[in-house]
Parts: sequence; C-alpha cells; structure tokens
Amino acid sequence: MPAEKSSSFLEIDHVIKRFSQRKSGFWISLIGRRKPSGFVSAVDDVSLEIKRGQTLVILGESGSGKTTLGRMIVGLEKIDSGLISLSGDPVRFVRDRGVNRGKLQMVFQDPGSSLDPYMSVASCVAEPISKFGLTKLQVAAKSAESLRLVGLEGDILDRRTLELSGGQKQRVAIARAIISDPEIIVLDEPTSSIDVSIQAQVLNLLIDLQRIKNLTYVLISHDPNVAKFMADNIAIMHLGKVVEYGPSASLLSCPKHPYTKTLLASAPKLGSTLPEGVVGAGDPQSIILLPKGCRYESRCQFAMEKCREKEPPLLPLKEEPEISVSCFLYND
Amino acid sequence: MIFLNTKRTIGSLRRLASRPSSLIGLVIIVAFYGWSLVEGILQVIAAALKTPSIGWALLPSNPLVVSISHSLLSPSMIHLMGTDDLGRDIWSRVLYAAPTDATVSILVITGGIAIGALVGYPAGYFGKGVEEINMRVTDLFLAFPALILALTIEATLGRNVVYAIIALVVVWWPSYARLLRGETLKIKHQKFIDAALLSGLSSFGIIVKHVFRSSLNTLISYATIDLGNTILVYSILSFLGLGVPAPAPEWGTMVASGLNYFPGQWWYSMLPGIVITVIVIGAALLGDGLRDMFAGEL
Amino acid sequence: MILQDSNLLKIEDLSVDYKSPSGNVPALRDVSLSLKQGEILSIVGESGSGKTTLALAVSRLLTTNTSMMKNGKIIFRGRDITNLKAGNLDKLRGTEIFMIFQNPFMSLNPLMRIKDQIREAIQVRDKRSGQKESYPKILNQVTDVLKAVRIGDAGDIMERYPHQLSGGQNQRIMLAMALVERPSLLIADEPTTALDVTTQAQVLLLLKEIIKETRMSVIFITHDLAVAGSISDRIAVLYGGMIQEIGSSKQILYEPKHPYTVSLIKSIPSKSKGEGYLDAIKGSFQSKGIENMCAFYPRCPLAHDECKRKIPSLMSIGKGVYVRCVNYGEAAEDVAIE
Repeated sequence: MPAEKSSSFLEIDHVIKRFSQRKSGFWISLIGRRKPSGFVSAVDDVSLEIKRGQTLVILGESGSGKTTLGRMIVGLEKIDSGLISLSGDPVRFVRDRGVNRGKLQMVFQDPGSSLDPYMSVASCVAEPISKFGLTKLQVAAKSAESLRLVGLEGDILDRRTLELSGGQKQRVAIARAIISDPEIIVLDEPTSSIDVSIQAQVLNLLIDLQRIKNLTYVLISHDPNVAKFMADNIAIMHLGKVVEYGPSASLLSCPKHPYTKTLLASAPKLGSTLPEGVVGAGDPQSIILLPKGCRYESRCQFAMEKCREKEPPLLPLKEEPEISVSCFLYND
Repeated sequence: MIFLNTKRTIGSLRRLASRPSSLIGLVIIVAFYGWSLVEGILQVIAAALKTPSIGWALLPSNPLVVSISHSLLSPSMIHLMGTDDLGRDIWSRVLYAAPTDATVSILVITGGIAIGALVGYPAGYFGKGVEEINMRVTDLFLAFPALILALTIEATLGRNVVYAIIALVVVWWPSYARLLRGETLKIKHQKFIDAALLSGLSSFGIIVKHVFRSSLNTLISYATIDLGNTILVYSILSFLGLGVPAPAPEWGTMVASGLNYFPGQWWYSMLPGIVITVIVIGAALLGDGLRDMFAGEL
Repeated sequence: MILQDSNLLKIEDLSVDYKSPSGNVPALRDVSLSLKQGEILSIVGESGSGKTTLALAVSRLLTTNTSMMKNGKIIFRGRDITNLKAGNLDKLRGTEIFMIFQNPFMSLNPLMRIKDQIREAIQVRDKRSGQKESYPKILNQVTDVLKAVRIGDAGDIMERYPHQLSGGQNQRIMLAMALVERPSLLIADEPTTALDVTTQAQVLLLLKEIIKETRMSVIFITHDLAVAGSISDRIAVLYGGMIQEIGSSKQILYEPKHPYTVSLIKSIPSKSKGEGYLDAIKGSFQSKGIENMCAFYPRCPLAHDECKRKIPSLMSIGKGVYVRCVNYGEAAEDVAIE
C-alpha cells in the first residue's frame, strides 16, 4: 500500500495499538474460549495513506478501532508498533516535548465535552495559537477570522461555551481546529451528536473550509450518507482492521466485503423498509476473544471453511486495483 | 481565566437566596465573616497604635475589664449573654473573639487547599507512580484521628494560635488532596483536555487552566462546609487549653471556663457554645446550598 | 378485549411547561393524538421539539419539580389517566403501558442478574392473573423469551449482569420484558439511537416481529425520519412543542406538506462529494420569541407576514393528513383530530 511515498501526505504504516486488559478474568473464563493474551489490539496492523487536500472517511462501528486510529493520527495515543508520518515527519505523542504543535488538529464528537464549559469562546478558539508567541492583537485578529469563517458573529467571543447550542459549540470547535492552519484535521463523528437539520450546515461548512484552506480531513463516521457527501476515499474498519478500502463512489455503489454490504444495508434509508436478508445475524464479535480466522466469519453469510482457519489479507482487487478487500471471496 | 461576571454572580446569589435554608446559611456566614473583618481591622489598628480601646469601640462593653461586683449576672438587656466569673460581658467577649476563629478557619482552609492541590492534582492527572506515592502519603495522614493529630502536633510545638493553625493545616490537607484527585480523575477524560494537549499546553498548564476551574465548584461547596468544621475543631483545641492564652477571650476557652459554673450559671458555658454551633450549621447550610446551586437545582 | 372507543390511546390538547429559574418554558403545546390498537405511530423531532416530554407525559413519568402539566387529557383504553394516583398508575405501568428508553441501563437493575429481572417480570404478570408457577417452569420461560429475542447463548446471558452486556443486548432484554408483559402500549424513546448501525437494524427488525406477534400499539420516538419510515404506520412531526404534520408514513415521506418536514427530508445528506451543498435549514431552534407565531417561522423558507400573526391551527387536508401551516391552502378545514 505505501507505494508512491512522494505523493502521499499522511502515511499510516502497519500501525498497531494495544490496550492492556485488567481484571476481566472471570467474565472471559466463563466462556472458556480462546484465552486472552492480556491485551486487546484496538488497532491491528492498519496501513492507509491520504493525499493532501483530500478526505478519507473511516467508516465503522463501535469497537472497530476507528476512534483510536484517529487519535493516533494526531498524536493523542502512543503507537505501539508501526509509524504514522506527515510529509515524511513522524507524528509524535502529544506529551513529548517540542511536538507537532498546531499541525494536527481534531474535532471531537461531543461538542459539550470538547469545549471547556467555563472558558470564553475567545479563549477556546485561541488556545491552539496561545503558545505561538503572537501578540494579543494578532491573536484577536486570528480568532475573529476563524469565527467568521465558521459563520459565527463576533459578539459570541465573550460568552461562556456552556451557554451555546450544540451546533454553535461544534462551530466553535471547528474554528479552534482551523486557527493554527493545521495540515490534517481528524474529525471524530463531528455531526453525530447534533440535530440532522444542523448537521447539514456543519457539513457544508466543512466542505467550504476544505476548499478555502486546502485542508486534509480524516473523517470518522458510522453514517454512509455522510461518507458519500464528504469522502474521496473510504476505509471500512471492523474490529481493528481495515476490511475494505477504495474511492468513495465505487465503494458505496458496489461494496465488496460482506461486512461493508451489511453496514451499508443497515443504515436507515428514507423510503425503504428494513433489509431483512442482508443484516447479519447474531451479536457482534467480541474484541476480546478474537478468532484466529476472519473476524467477521461468525456473522458472515458467505463464510467458508477457509475463513475460520486464516485471516484474509487486505489486497487490491486484480480488476480494480484502487479497491482493496480483505476477504477470501475475492482473493485467494 | 476565572470568570467573575457581576450579572451572573448576582443571579447566582438570588438563586441561592431562594431557598430558605441556604439563605439562613448565607446570612450567618456573611454576618460572621463580615463582622470579623471589621472587628479584626479595628484590633490590628488598636495594636499598631497601641490604643487597645479602639479594639472594643464597637462592642457593648469592654471585654477585658474585670469587675467582680458584676460577676455571673444572668442574661439581660444590658448583658445579652450575661457576665462571666470576672464580671466581663460575655456577648462582648464573644464578639471580640470572633476574628480569631474567622482567621483561623480561613488560614487553615487556604493552607489545606494549597497543600492538597499540590498533592492531589498531580496524583489525579499523572496517575501511576505519582498517584501511588501521593495518595499513600495522604492515607498515612488520614489514618490519624484529626483531634489526636492536632493535639500531638500542638503539644510538641507549643501553645500558640500559630502552632494551632499549623497543626490544623496538617490535619486538613489530606481531605483536599483526595477531593481534588477525584475531581481531576473526572475531568481529565473530557475532550477539552485532549484539545488542550493538541494545542501544545504542558501538563502544568492544563491543570492550571482547565482542571482547576472545572474543580472549583466542588471545591467551593466543600470548603464552605469545612469552614464550620475548622471552627469547631479549633474551638475544641482552645477548650482543651491549646488556643490563645488568657485573658484574651476565645470561644472554646470560654466554654471550658464556664463548665465550672454549669448548670447554675448555664449562660457562661452554653451561650458561646451555641454561637459556635450556629456558625457551624450556617456553614453547612450555605455549603449545601452552593452545591445545589452549582448543580443547577436551585 | 373489545374497546368502546376504537382508540387505545387518546391525547387531547396536552400542554406541558418546564420550570426554569427564569420562568416557565413551554415544552409541549396543545398536542392531540390518537392511537389505535396494533398501530405504530412515530413521533419525529429534533432537540427542543418536546418529543421526550411527550413520552414521559403519556407514561406519567414527568416529575412535578421540573415540569408542569398545564392542560390536557390522556385517555387510555377509554379511561382518563391524566390525574391517576400513584398506586393505580403503578398497576398500569409495566403491564399495560411499557417503556423502553434510549439507555437500557436506565431500566435494567444493575444489581440483578438478567434471569432474575425477567423472572420478576414473569412473576408480577402471573400474580396479576392469579397464576403461580414453579421456579423451574419460570426459568424455562426466561430461556424461551431470551431465545425469542435472538440473544445468542441464552443460558449464558441469563447469568450475567447488565453492565457485562452490550447496549444492543440490553435493548433486546428490554424487548424480552415487553414480550413477557404483553403491554397494550409500548412507548419507545429513541431505543436505537445509541446503538451501532448494524445492531440498530437487527433490533428494529426484532421489534417489528414482536409487534406483529403481540399486536401491541407503539409510540416510537426518534429524530431519524428514515428509521421512523421503516417501522411505522403513521408519523407525527413535532417541532417547537407542537405537531406540525401528521399522516401515514407514506404520505409524510413521499408527499410531505409542511415546510419543516420538507426541509428535514432535504437536509438528510444524499449528495455525493462534489455535487454541491446540502440543503440545510438555516439557523437553529430557539424557544424564545415564538410564543405567538408559527414555531418554524424564523427558519422557514416560505415564511411571510401571515405566519407571524398567530399560531396556525392543525388542519385536515384529507386522507388522514393534518398540517399546521398557513401556506397550506383553502382545501384545508379546521377539524379536531379524529
């Protein structure tokens, strides 16, 4: 996957993130399946790349590792194995000294907790540039500009963030994310916690900002409609692995991996009834007790013997090499 | 950094006053500390100018002058709380001693919070080794019953208000360490902390700018109730003879002296004791009210 | 049971205010609805619409220190339950009227094993009908009902506590309880909002099956029009505490009349990247300033002066569709909800 390194802007190279397990012993021993090895691989050998100015959407559900991956991209989580680099420079953990200040920003899902409720909008928005050594005037000017770009009036500067509505808070969060002229912005479900009618405003805004400031987005979502509107490329994640990757239009219109099909079919669509056939049966595979074969096998309607034995590798399709799938149906 | 918007403060005060119990608490505490401030300033001026009479300018009678002929008079219009065995007006003595307790309570709480913050915030924020060490030290201090610890320290250092304050600070800081560590644990998982990290703030910077402010509400309500507790414990210390030495008045000491005349001349012991009780209750009511107000229930 | 009035539930002119330090805020205004046996009605609304207040009002779970029911009647099975005393209400709730919340942890006891909670539900139901079954028989029923909600290893799940299970599993358990109770009315307040997409689809399918089997009536509250459309017979669109449009699912989704409904449908992202902007609704819901005019006026693309003058009444435009909008022509008649 990391082929032409020159054209890639953000490179995620065989990245692994493990969380240690504590004290869940008795629950697991009750089931008695595969013994836990003491940790959970939230992100298990993921490789992706993204070109400058584009949007990669990571589609997945809870437990897929999408949020952890997003946090690793901006340096909020340490990488256990592998490398993430931005224009060739490795991304370092935020708490290490002298780090990628301001170049990597994040917009979080819950606007309520992503802004300090007791701070003024002005302090919030200016925080990323507070360590840049700018004068008060310069900071004020940049803050005003940022707020203008997200469509908020100047008189909001003195209000405390807890007084704002959900949509306003998310705009402030976006203003904060762009003020340091970041190179990459990771957006973790930025519209999931706000009303549908406001979501459209925010998505329109994000598209505008990308154009104006030539931003590169990694957008994490569970909603295929959002993916359709925002993505250049989509990566489908399931239990720590990328199971399918490709350009947005082809992936959405013609999904290959059985999980992708289920995911897209499950998303409620206006005017259609519930998809009885495609929806996988049974509960989601637990991330603690991973099978040695394909992780989707227990719910997959196309499961074969081979799927229980080995994990299918993520490989590009012969006929459409820009699409990669991790499934024995397509690659032997 | 800390928002003190007058309109909002007035609004909060009004909400606080809407509940009768909180209003009572507010009145008691404001009256107590307000009076103590005024009287305290007078006493400082009196000492500076070496004119002691300034110190009792606002009092009904001279709290120090002995008048055996007026001893042990029961409460009346002239002597609201009666007189003690040396004929001194008890109400005046109560008023005269107020600044001492007020000062002690403020110093102890401030000292307790200062040390508690230094121990508790890093413990909560950094976790791991720092947390272990800090909290086990905290536990060590908490293992001793407050009064015994205070008595031991003061007995060692000497009988003096300053030493009493030091003893009380040593007793008091662990609960703040615990409180602030707990608050930090809750706050550090908020996403705005992540955002601050992405902005390049140092851990210290984050604690000061974000964690502190978010923990302030809980701290204020807790500390307010605690004011009453410190006054109570200090009164017990002075009751046991470890406070300000005679002839200066002190509530705890007055209760102790008055015990010799109990129950016949009950006012000597009981009335100062009731004053202490009222203030402790007032602090508790106010603290509860503040807690509910911050929680939005008022 | 044959009902006098064919309506299982009737809500008449319900108005509820929320108490706040700065004065009362209307959460619901003159809401009137009816629900027949076996019917699924979705209440679609965004934040501030009053939809959760409605759910709580019907199940009489509103607390008097935060809210105030100003007006209105709630009639269940022909019986006015608006002012029912606590004791009688308890008999009603859990048996005839059953509620499922967004967060299943709110309804499940964290200290009881799953099997004990379902067993308790069964025992309560049996006591009502005068039966008393043996413990092993009840456990069998527990297993059966867990299997019916397709919960995987029923024997294993039975022994667990709610916090050991996922949100999807817990919601299935709530549905299992509903199966045990066989209520006439199920109120589901955003039951799948907190679930993953694939889990949501499974739970919705399950719900549909259960409804078909038990012939329960359902009030389904959601912010997601598509979910509402996939499961309900009728949809009521709530905005600013008032019903703005109500009709059959097909009519609401395919022939929406109210500008808010139309805008809501349009703002669901359906474009691809590069196809231009989404049709967003401008502004956001503000509860102030709209007391005496159409609640949607500040944001409505069709707004004009007439809309500011008074609150438009809910008018029938035929075929069971009602719209609250003055831009809706002469064909409309002023009729009370039937």
